[in-house]
Amino acid sequence: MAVIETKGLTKYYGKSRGIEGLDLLVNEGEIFGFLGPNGAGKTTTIRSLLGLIFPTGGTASVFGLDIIRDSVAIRSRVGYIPGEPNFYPKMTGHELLDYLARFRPDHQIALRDELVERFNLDLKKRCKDYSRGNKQKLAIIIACMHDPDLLVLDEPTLGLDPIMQKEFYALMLESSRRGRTVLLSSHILGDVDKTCERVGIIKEGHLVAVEKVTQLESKKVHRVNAVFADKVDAKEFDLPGVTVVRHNEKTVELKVKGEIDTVVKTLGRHKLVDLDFEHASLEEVFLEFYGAEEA
Amino acid sequence: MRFLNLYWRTIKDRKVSWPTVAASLILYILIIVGIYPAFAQNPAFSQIVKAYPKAMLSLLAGGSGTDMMSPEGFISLEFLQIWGMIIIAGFVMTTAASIVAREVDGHTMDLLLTEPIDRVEYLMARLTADITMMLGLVAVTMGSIWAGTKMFDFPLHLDGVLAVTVLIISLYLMIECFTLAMGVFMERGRAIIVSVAVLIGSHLLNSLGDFSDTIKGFQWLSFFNYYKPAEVLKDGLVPWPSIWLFLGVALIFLTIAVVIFREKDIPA
Repeated sequence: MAVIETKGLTKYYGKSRGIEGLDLLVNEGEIFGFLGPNGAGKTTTIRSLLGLIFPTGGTASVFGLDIIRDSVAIRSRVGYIPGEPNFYPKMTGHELLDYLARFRPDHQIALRDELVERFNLDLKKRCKDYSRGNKQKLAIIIACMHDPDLLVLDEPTLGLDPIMQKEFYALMLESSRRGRTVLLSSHILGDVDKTCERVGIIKEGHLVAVEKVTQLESKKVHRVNAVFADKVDAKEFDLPGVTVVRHNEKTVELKVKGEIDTVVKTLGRHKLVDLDFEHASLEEVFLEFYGAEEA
Repeated sequence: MRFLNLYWRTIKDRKVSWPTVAASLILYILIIVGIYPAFAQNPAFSQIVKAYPKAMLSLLAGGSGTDMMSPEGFISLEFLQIWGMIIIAGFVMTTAASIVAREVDGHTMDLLLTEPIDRVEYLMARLTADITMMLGLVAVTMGSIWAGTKMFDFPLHLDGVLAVTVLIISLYLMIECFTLAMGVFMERGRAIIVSVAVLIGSHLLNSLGDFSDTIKGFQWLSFFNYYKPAEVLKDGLVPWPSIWLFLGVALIFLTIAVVIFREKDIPA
């Protein structure tokens, strides 16, 4: 069952493009990564789904409900973590959680104390006194304390230290195991790599690809570092799909897209001292989609 | 539940400023009412007032024809037309501009509108809280004036006090809704500046209209033209045409605020 479905979703801010003709499908229980560089339209999509902004074209539904007409019903089942959370500076964390909890009287706040303990957050502090990381923790607790059916996360790990990031990923996976759906927007591939099953890639307001993370990883992009016993001419590696990243007389670093057989045979013509052969990171695969543009 | 949550939060946010404003109003009114007998009984003051340029009196009292030596004229001049307006309208504008503009400026509107809150319900809950606080300030004001009539030699009729109470409630409702609507369109500071500019402009238009035939033709545009507290205090009659006008304008701006806010993009 589709939890999120958009058809031709379009948002223009005056003449400026936000997103254009976006078709997106996120299924129940999956963690869906939404990748793209800053300004690609990730936040516009999320804010449209949450009813914070209004599309200028197309349609979208969440849980089968129209995002404009049924926005309140949708939000009662959604938890949201913004990229840059803002709170009332004079309220303590405790007051803020109490205040927001009262907007969802039908929901249990079973997870709240557990989350506070898990993310080790002092709720007695005023919001203005929280560090960037602690604000992010508070945002995570606010989004998750009602155990929502759908979590919408916009750059959720910004400001979190590595231990808390790990804790956050674990929380996402637990939510998914309980049948919850997660839409995780990020320009940090590490976020997506660790948790997501499928990834949608957005570029300049258009969804350019939707792939399984495993498929994305398996795209044939390799990085080769070779050290030779003698001088080697870089021109020898002027092959289809091969880019010479670095060359220094006896060493060469290559990026290989696609078939590697020709490269291996070319390397084999010389006496090798050392050879390092690795799959490209997801980030490099991602860069292939965007060419030399911002990643 | 959601309505009440927003309502009480709005009231709690003013737990310092509201009592401060209310206490200032009580003190100011009692001082003004307390000095009236000395003012009224001193013939020198009467002569000074008579010698005042009419234009100056009009500017201070919001239109010519106000008898400053009467208790009705005195409280209108010293409080209801100028200082009361500045204090209470200032509070009303500040709270009204906070409903949308402050939350948008501070990026906390995201926090609220990603909760299951209907936008119209949000506006109405916050507005109701603001109106409650405004009514409280009006009650404190008129209660202090009435208490002053008992404590000092300051003869006012209860009918007049009650009639003015209804008039100023409708006036502040209009200011509240106007500023709310401005806050939907623009940031908080600008919304307040626009409201203050309209208030001052309206006062000047009404005052100067008494002395310029050119401006007089536009006096009907000034809401001060329909706000004559001295006359109402004296007559004791509720000025329904003025009240309906203020409430009508309030309704128009409230409708604009609701319609625009329902469709408003909340910037990231």
